[in-house]
Amino acid sequence: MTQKALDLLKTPKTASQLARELGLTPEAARLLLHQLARRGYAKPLPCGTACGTCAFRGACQEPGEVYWWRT
Amino acid sequence: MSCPRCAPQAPLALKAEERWALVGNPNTGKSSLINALAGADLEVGNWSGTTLERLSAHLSVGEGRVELVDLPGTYSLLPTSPEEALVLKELLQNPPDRILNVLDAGNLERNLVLTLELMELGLPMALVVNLLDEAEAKGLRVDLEALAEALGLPVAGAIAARGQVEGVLEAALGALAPKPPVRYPAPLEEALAALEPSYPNRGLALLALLGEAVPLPEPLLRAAQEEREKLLRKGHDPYLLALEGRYQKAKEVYEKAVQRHGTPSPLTERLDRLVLHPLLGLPLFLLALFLAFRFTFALSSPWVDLIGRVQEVLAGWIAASPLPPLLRSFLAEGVVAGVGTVLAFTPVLFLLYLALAFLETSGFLARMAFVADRVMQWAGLPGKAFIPLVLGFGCNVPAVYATRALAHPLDRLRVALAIPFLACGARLPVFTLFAFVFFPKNAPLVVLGLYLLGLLVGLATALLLGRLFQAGRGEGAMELPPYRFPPLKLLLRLSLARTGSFVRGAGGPILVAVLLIWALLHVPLGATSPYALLAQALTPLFDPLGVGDWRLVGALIPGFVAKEVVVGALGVSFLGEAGLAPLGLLEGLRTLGEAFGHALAGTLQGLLSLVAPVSFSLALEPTPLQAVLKDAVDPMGALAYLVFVLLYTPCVATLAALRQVVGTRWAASSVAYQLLLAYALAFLAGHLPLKP
Repeated sequence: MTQKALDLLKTPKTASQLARELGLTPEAARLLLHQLARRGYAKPLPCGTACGTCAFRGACQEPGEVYWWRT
Repeated sequence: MSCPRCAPQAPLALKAEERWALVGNPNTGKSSLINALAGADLEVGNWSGTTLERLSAHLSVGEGRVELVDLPGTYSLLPTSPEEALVLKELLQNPPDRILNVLDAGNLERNLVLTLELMELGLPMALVVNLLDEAEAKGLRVDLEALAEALGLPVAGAIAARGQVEGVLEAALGALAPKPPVRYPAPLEEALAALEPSYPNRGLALLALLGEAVPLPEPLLRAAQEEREKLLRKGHDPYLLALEGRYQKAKEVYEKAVQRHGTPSPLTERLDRLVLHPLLGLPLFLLALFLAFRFTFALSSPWVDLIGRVQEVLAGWIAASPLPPLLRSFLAEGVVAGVGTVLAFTPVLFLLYLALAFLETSGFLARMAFVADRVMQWAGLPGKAFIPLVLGFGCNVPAVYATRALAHPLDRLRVALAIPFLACGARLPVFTLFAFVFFPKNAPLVVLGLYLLGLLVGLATALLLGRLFQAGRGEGAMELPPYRFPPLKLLLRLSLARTGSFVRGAGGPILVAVLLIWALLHVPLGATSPYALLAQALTPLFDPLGVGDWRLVGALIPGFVAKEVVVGALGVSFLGEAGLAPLGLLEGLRTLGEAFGHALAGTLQGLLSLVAPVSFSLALEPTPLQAVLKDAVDPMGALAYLVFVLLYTPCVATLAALRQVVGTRWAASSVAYQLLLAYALAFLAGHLPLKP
């Protein structure tokens, strides 16, 4: 599961997207991402201040979601 | 819920005194559970050697007495924050008699990751699956029996916020030493097999193998290091293997224990689309904070006034007593005023804690943090820091306490040390008095400028501390909990316990400071008071600022008790002391009765004002003082004085709050830093090339 997660994160994914691929709940996938980040295997991709005012933000991100990718 | 697999193990006998630790993810309702189990006897303190809040309660179980301790919420025993590190440290160095692992029924899979880690520590353990109602609303049903069967531990279901905790004590009394259920990938199992015989438990062996800091003898750590290196040489990171085993097992248990029986309620999603909207989110957040602020100050001011009237009546009765004048003054203006100063903060704190506890437990605070996160990014602070910074403009004391909601101690320190620079309501009377006397045409601009200067200096302090300690950006909120309507009982008990903690922790220092100031003002030293002598001795220091009148300098000394006292002290120094007015018993009782009536009426008015339109007004002080002040200092000296009052040492209550939140060393450093900065900026302000 962790190896599959790392392979999937070669392209940025939100926790919900990763959860769907791994068959986990989004909350468990989010914890997995944080734990992978803890040892430098993944990192969040902050969208900075630009996303805050982007009218199309809802199209690529669910409320409260951020993208993660493999480092 | 009984546990079929546990039947061969006899439950542990309850000792006369036991400590049970509640361990679980954040937002699983551990505080609600303590509240439901133990009733009103919540105790708030600090974890030893830290400024993190420790919530506990005592209850009688059969013949035994049990201390229930709420450990900080943690997602894992692989810590990512000081709170999580504290949980691991507590469990390893001060193991509880039993662990009550509290799980969120609606997020069971994620919660199970921690459960599986806890089970490897080998401590007696039982599970409490809380928030069953929220799981139901999400369309999830938890089979408690299947969960007990899968993990081999007693399990109780609960809806703690509604007081439905039947079976929790029974499960806790049936707590069992767990059998670690996770089978890790073969390379990791082989390494563990080599270590486990010499280690106290599998959990410690695994933590050591993962390279985590654990308190173990050197030979054991060396053995783990050798096994770890062997694994890494073969291309296996034990950390990834451990995650693999745990998440697989969590998924397996989750699939056995949870069934989906409907579609989730769309309410949370709909509300989130509004609350987390990129454009509407921030105004809604500011509105919620404004309402919390208004609720606090509108409802607390009648009770603060009542405390003031009680002080006046007690002082009047003391003045009418046949005691020697100095003793009368000590009791009335020292003891009564000191206790009054402490008590005057309690209505504000209680109501603010109530509003904050509501925002926190209802799920709004997590969303506010998310919305404000982008705004606070430029200062390198988390979104939650916005809340205490805004509160600081009302009163610095609750704002400093509100920094406890910040997870990282460095963020707490940075924001707590920034808050005393924010112009609280107590400084406004001084600003308006001087601004209208010396800058009549530009008074609103001067007052606004002072507010902005305070904010700027506060944020610069937070930034400077961030650079100094190389603070990194956090990864944002781990989750947005569902919206909940928190039980009023829990909110009241938490607010009461936290207010009580302020009175116990900060009350003593405030009282001592007030008595010291009284001694300075009233104990005669030759022909004059130590206050006048001290003020006159300090005045040469203020000459470079353009403030050469000792009465102006002297008023800064009682300003340490509360900034609004500066105006009163100036009045006494320039216009003479009013003295204590004696009061008869009946007259005092009548005054108290009237004051109580006014407090009740004021509360009602306050409630009505919550829905009334907002009005802003600047109150002017009486003119006799304004007239004499004009001769005491020139306008540029007055500006320097205002900047000094804005920035110099925080009031004694703020200082006591700082001491509780960031420790004595930082609180003392804050005083020195503020005094130096206030002096430097006041000097600059006094020499600005401005025409008043």
